[in-house]
Amino acid sequence: MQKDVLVELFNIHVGASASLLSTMVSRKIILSIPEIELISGSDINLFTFEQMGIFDSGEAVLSNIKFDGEFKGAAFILFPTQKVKRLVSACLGEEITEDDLGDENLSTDEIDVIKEICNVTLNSIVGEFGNLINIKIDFMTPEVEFSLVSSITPESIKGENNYILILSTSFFIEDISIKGVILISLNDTSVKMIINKIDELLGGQNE
Amino acid sequence: MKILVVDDSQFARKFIGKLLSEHLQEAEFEFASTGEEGFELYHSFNPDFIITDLLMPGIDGKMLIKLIRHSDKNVKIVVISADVQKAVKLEVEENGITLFLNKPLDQEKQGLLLNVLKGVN
Repeated sequence: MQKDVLVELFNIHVGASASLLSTMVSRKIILSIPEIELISGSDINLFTFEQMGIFDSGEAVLSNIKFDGEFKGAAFILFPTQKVKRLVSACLGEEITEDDLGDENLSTDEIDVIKEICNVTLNSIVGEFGNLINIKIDFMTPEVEFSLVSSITPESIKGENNYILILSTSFFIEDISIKGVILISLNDTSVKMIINKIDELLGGQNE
Repeated sequence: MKILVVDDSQFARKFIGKLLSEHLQEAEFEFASTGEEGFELYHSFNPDFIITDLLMPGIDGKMLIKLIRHSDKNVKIVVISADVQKAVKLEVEENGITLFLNKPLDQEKQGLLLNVLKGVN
């Protein structure tokens, strides 16, 4: 039952985040209901996502935002590189050519837009947990890197935290479907805070 | 009217700049990509309005507002941030801001911003 509540909470937050992204790209965006899993940090295996076909070319744009305070961890969005170029061009209101898609490099402008997408999306998802638990979360500035999925190490996602929440989701932007993965690594205290809050919401129904 | 926009995102600066220049043709603008640059421009440009992000490397928006409010209680400050936390909004509101808006700016929020800048209640 705790997982049901967690899925429901994330659905609300991810829905809000889709609405924010829609405003950014001036197009309707639907985020699919995420599949959520809470795993031990050492069990993260990004190769699974490659096998699921999320990263066909094996290349990903990894953007992240770290957060500190009582609620501590880091949130990541992984997008396939080619698809993220479509998302960026939609934000900039520009047409994208096949040549642009073939160019594997990201320009400074493109990285800047990805940072802002990461900033808005992950602040919306993680920040609402701050509101729910009634604590203040301190966010760091977002970072973006371009990487082969195979070279993203579990340690770079896990950091000092023991748990990872995996949200597999798809962004549907009119005719473009962009599958992406949101990962949130959390320390023990933060996971306990969420679980305690869920138990409070359930009002002892879980006992 | 002089407006200073402080945001580390070039995308956000361009978006805000385009929106405001389309609706406030008489206004003068300056743009800063860091809190440090924003604080310098606050002194040299002497703006009527400061529009600032919160999450920035170095001097962030919260610190910038505190630095400005230390000596100036009058300049109007608008915060445009992705941070959706109520605690953060309350914290910056304690430093006397005119308006707090969450990114991104949809039509409704754009209207609120323009009304504040035009002095419409």
